[in-house]
Amino acid sequence: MFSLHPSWTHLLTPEIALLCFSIIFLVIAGLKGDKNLRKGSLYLSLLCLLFTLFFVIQLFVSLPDKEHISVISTSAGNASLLIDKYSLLFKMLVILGGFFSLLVSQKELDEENAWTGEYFALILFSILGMMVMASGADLLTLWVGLETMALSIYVLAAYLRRKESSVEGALKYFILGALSSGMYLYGVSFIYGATSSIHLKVLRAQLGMMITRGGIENIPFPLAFGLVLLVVSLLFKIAIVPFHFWTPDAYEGATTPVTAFMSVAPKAAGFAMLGRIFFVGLIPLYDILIPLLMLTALLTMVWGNIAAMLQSNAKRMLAYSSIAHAGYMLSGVIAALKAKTDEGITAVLFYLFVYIFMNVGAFSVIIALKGNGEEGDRMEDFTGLFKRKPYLAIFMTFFLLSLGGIPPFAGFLGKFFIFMSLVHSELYLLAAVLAITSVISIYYYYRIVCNMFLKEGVEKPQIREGFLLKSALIIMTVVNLFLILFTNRIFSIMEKGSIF
Amino acid sequence: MAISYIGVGFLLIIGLLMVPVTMILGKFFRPSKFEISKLEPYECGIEVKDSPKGRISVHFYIVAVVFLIFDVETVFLFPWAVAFDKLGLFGFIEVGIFLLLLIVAYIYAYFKGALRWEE
Amino acid sequence: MIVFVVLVSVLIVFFSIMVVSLKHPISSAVSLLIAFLLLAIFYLLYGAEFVAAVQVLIYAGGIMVLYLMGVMFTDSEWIKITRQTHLQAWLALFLVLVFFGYFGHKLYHSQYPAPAVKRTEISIAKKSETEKKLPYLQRETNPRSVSVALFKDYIYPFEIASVLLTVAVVGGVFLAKKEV
Repeated sequence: MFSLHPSWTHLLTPEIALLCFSIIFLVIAGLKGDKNLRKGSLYLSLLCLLFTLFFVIQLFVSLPDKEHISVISTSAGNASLLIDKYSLLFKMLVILGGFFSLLVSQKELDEENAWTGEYFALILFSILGMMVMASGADLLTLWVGLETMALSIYVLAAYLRRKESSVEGALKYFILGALSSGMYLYGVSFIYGATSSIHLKVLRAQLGMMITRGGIENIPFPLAFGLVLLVVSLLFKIAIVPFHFWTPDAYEGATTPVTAFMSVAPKAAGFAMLGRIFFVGLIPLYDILIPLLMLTALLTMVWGNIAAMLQSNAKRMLAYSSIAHAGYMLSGVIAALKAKTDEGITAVLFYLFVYIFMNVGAFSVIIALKGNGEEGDRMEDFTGLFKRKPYLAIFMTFFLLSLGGIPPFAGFLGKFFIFMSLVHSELYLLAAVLAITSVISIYYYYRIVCNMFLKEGVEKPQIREGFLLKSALIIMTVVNLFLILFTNRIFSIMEKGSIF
Repeated sequence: MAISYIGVGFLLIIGLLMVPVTMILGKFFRPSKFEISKLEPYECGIEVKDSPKGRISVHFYIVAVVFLIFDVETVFLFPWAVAFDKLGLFGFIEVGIFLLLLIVAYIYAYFKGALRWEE
Repeated sequence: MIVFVVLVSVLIVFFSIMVVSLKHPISSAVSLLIAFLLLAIFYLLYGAEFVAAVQVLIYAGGIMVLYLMGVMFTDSEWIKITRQTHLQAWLALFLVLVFFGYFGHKLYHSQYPAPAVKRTEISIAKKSETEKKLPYLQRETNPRSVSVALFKDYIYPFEIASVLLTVAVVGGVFLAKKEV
């Protein structure tokens, strides 16, 4: 029997609130308002995200552990929307990613003279889509969330629509993203044809039944074909090698705060969706999933790091490094698949949390360097930064060392937990490759550090940051430095995000 | 199921045959005289200024996009109308929320001047 | 029935090939339109009336307009100077045929267990006597069953779809409009 959970309004408060907030920004965008209104809407949007975060945290505290509450049950009795601590944690990560990307966007919007209401509305809409992705429990809900997120981000990637590189990157992103969405739908149609359901629970039951009856060979061809397409399109969305081609161009072309947003929030949402589909739907297939995913994770870690070494543009380099980081996180997912425990998921959640602070931090330094008609994302722009702006250079060093995984910075902890989960589930090859590629990654992060401290730069005009960017830089540096003191507390929060 | 569409099928076939049949029939009955003015696109109308090739204003595109989106909206309303008796108040509120958001989108497009022609 | 299905399928494939092989963009757009309409007939043959209506309304009505717009935005002079085929075409054709053969073979020989669909067919057949007495609009037709699924089971994706459409309006207007 079709039913809504009795307290569905309470369970969906964050989504409803965010929807109302984004409508406000849409109206602001439509108005012919003066610039001050639009500048003020930045503060308003930060406030809105804080409110939403507050609602999510409130729900998180009030919810019992390890319980998956089904908000909407279909007539066949399947859950189509789940609220649990897993989804709430991912929602928090997504909102945090959006919050910090908005925090650093003031200067960029000033430089490009691109203050519009749409910017905020689209970011809030995409966060709403990501929240749907985090809690959807059937393939259709997940897809609608994914599409809402993706469509907003295509537009954001083309935000500077008079700039050729921005439009080019967005177009590539759009075409490849549409292709992967199409693959997802095509795969789902085959899955539906073979199981006559799009609910992950039903899919799991049917797969389990088929495998106990006659092993992997018993899975009918259409279902297998659909599953392959589904998995490929998921890997596409989180930019795993060999499905990563869109990443560097889209990241380079987009305006830098949007790049920062694209590199953290959709990744978190993508992993939420991937985890939900794998651990609720496809878990009976772990026998074949693990080797396949291991291959892609190995390729991703190796190629992401090698390609990052060859880049001369800092944003492209960070794009490839984000591919490599996605590989590390995917290894955490594989560990969870192998051991069938939450340890890998906890490690991924922790990694994503840390990743927000280090990656947005690195991008915000690039934003700070922009000015006087220069993008500030070439390697040469960093030369002699220590002489010009000592604290900026020191902050950047912290972020880069954190990304490289050097103790005692936060990034080390993320890698450490993933490494431990890999060792506990006896995936020694992945663990070894993770360790080795992290060492390789230090080389290219160090190149920027070297440029900043050791080389003499040419005389360049003064760098201005603005209040919001400065405070964002300070927050992120503090988190990167002192997270190690609160490891236990944060880890125990992340441990609650259990999917099993 | 499909058998109930047999009439539509006949209509389709008759419609498809209409043009070639009348043209062929016309060939037998009409006198054929060649005149240069018969080759013009509008035989008795506006004179052609230049070739229709070339680019058009992007404004058409905005109108087309807005049209398409509200077209999709209509498609969502269609099944609601068909099963209105079954869905009742619940469906009414549901579609009301759906429409409310799209009205906001419409207001946005309106105030942005997406539907205004002169620039 | 099967004759119609085969006929319509062959025509769809033919016009789809025409879309990519005709030289003039307008001609390929018209072929696409015909392929869309034939696809609607295809859906009708399988009793998916609602999907057929949507196919005509959205694809043949809306998407085609966008396609033609796209054609009109581009300068059609380049068609004469650009080569339409590529050396890789032969390789691509070979690979397509190999994949098509493999998947076709596999799909043809695999069974589609679709219990849910069969169950509804049986229930409709059972009900049909009592159904026939009802006025047409209250019978269990395809659009009605679609609408119950859409407005009850999939209420959440339906509501989020309005967000999706709103984002599409914002994106389209924002990217194409001059700065205000």
